[in-house]
Order: sequence, then structure tokens, then C-alpha cells
Amino acid sequence: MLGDIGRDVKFVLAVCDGGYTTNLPLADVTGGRAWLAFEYDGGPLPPEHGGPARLLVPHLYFWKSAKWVRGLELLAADEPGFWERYGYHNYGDPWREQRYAGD
Amino acid sequence: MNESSPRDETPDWALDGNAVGGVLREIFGVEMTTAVATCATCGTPGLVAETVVYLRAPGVVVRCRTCAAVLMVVIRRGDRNCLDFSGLAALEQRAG
Amino acid sequence: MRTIVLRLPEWAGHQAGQHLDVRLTAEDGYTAERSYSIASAPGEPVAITVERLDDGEVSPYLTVELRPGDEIEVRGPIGGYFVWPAEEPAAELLLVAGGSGVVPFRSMLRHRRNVGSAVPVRLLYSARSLPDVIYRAELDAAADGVRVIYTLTRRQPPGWAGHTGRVGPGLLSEVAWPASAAPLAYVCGPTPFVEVVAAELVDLGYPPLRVKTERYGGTEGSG
Repeated sequence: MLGDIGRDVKFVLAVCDGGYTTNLPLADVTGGRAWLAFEYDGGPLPPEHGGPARLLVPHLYFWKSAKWVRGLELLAADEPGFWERYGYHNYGDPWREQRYAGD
Repeated sequence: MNESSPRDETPDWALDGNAVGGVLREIFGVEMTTAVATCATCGTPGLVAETVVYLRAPGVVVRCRTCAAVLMVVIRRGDRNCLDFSGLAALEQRAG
Repeated sequence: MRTIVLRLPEWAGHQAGQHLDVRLTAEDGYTAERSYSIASAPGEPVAITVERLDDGEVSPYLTVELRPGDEIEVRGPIGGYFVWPAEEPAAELLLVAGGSGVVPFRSMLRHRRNVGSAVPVRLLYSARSLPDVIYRAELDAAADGVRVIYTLTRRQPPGWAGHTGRVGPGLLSEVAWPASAAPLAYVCGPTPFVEVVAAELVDLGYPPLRVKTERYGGTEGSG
């Protein structure tokens, strides 16, 4: 889906219902590392699971797997999302226990 | 996980202000579910107990039941509570 | 379901309808907190009734692993809104419970009995089936002036003559006190249940200020 994009795109900002956003490096959502899910169990993804469309980024902490995605902004520069601005870690690698900024 | 706005219907895991009674009591030192919160976005006053609350995100989000704007966000980090209340125009509770 | 009695030496007492928060801390410091309505009346040993949710973070521990003598971290009592002080000069009391939403009402009913209140009460209790009804024996032996009406939404025992199906406008208009009596209503249970019932009570003429709500989230327990 993110096949043909400009070379200066380095980051993605997922924009969701309710004004939520979350930011990710482009490299973390390409190459099969992440999915945009809109189906579940043979049918459309229900709202309680984040439908109609949500991000699934299994290698990062759960708040990066944004629910109710309305769009993906392709950015040249990183921009912290909703929880990141409140002090949650900008990248969120659970293997390095990056839960909070500064971890 | 983040949560959605109420839109036309409240998603079925949204709670109400009763669910943040404990953390608000920790922050304010008094019972706050009976406080009246005035939304900075739409101006509607309402009981904290009747706000729309989401607990499943990394932090707690409290939204206006009338317009769905965020009233408060509570983050807990270790032994510190952080309250963002920029979505409130006013908060009123009985003295003493 | 499991009712757990807690020994809380510094407990300052509680009001009927309040809840407490339980916090579990894992070895790695990860914490999970959940709120539980207090099932016991003021003055009785503090008790909570916990439903085991398969994907729960706290209820599996409380319902399966917790043993007498174990310590848990508790905060409370909490809440000044969803409370029924028996001194409240209400005419009639309407309690509408969806599934485990009946827990705070047990506290209220026990409190009413303990203080000798004569306030007329109707408890409309929606459960999936008769085995899902909590406190069944106690509710069936309810005190004078308390009428318990069940509606079983998924399965009914043979010969069931009671209500079936979800709490809707028809059942409420049949069971609820008329709005002209200026009753006080409490609605507790899963969020969608509470919102539907509260809206219907307002449609029946209950002033919104006289309809108190406590949402538990999810759809578990109400059918």
C-alpha cells in the first residue's frame, strides 16, 4: 500500500478518530513489519477491535497499533503523536522497555 | 490502544466518571465524581460522574458527554500522576 | 463469580453504592487496576463480588488464585454520586441491573434492611439465565417493600413464567415506578445496557437528575 512514495518520506503519522495520532518511522511500517487491518474473522473489522481500519504493529508497544485510523500522513520529519506528547516513548520498543520518554 | 470519540454512539467499552473517582481523589484529595466540569470546547457543564471515560489507552481519557472533546488526560508514570486538564473551562466542587 | 471478604483495619466505612479499586503489581513492576463495587452494606465486613473475565487482567487472579490470608492493594471507598444514603427522602427507588451491575444494589438493599427503611424498592435485574443471577437466594428472600423482577435474556428454565428478552421500553413502562411518583432511579451494568435504559427512563418522564448511572464497560453479563 505504501508502494510508491517520495524518497524524502521518513515518517508516518496515523490520524485517528477522536483526534488521536501516533507516529512511526516509515521503516517500521514497511517490509511486512506492520499491517493496516480492515477484516477480522471473515468480515469487516468491528469497531471494538478498531474497525473499520486499524494499524497493527506487533513489534512495538500497543499504543502504536492505532485503532480507528482515518488516514496516514507521510512526513519528512518526525512528529510526536497524542500519547508521545504526553510522555510516552517516541519509538516504543518493548524489547528495550521503551514505555516512557527517556526510558 | 487509543479509543474513539463517541461519534453517534458510545463504544461499548467506554465507562463513565465513576471509573476515575479513585485517581481523581488521589490527585485532588477530595471526592470529585460529584464535581461539575464545564467543557472548554462546548461550554456544557456536567457531573464528572457522567463524563465519558476510557481506561484502556496507556493513560486515562475523560471526554465531554455532549461534544466528545477531551476534558482531561491522566498519565501515571511510576509514582507520579500527571493531569492535563486543558479541556476544562471550570471544575466546581463543594468546599470543605 | 466469587465474593471476597476483605479485612481492612483502617477502613473508615462506606456508603451503599460506592466502589473500591484493586491494584495488582507484577514482579516487573507492571500494574493493573480495576474498580469493584462494594457488595456489602455499610457496617458489614467489606466484600466485593468479582466476575471472572477470560481476558481480564485482574479478575482471573482474584477469582482463581487469591487465597484467604493473601494481601491485596486496595483504594477506597470511592464515589459520592452513585450512592444511596437511606436518609435520602426518595419516594420510591428503582434499581435496574444488567448482569454484574447488581452488585452495588445488593449493598443498597442490605443497607435498607439494616437501617429499617420502608422506602419501596423495585429491582429489575437482567441476566442471561437463571444460573447467571447473583445473590439469588438473598434476592428471593428480599425484605418487605422490595420487589425483585428478573428478565432472563438468553435461556429460561422450563416453565419460566417471568420476563424474557432485554430491558426495553415495554418492560420498563410495566415495571418502573411512574414518573409522577418522583422516584429515584439507579442503573448499573454494561455501558450499552445503561445507556439504553437511562434513555428509556427519561422517555418515561424521569428527570435526568433522578437517574443515576454507573457503567461497567463491555457487554459481559447482561445478555
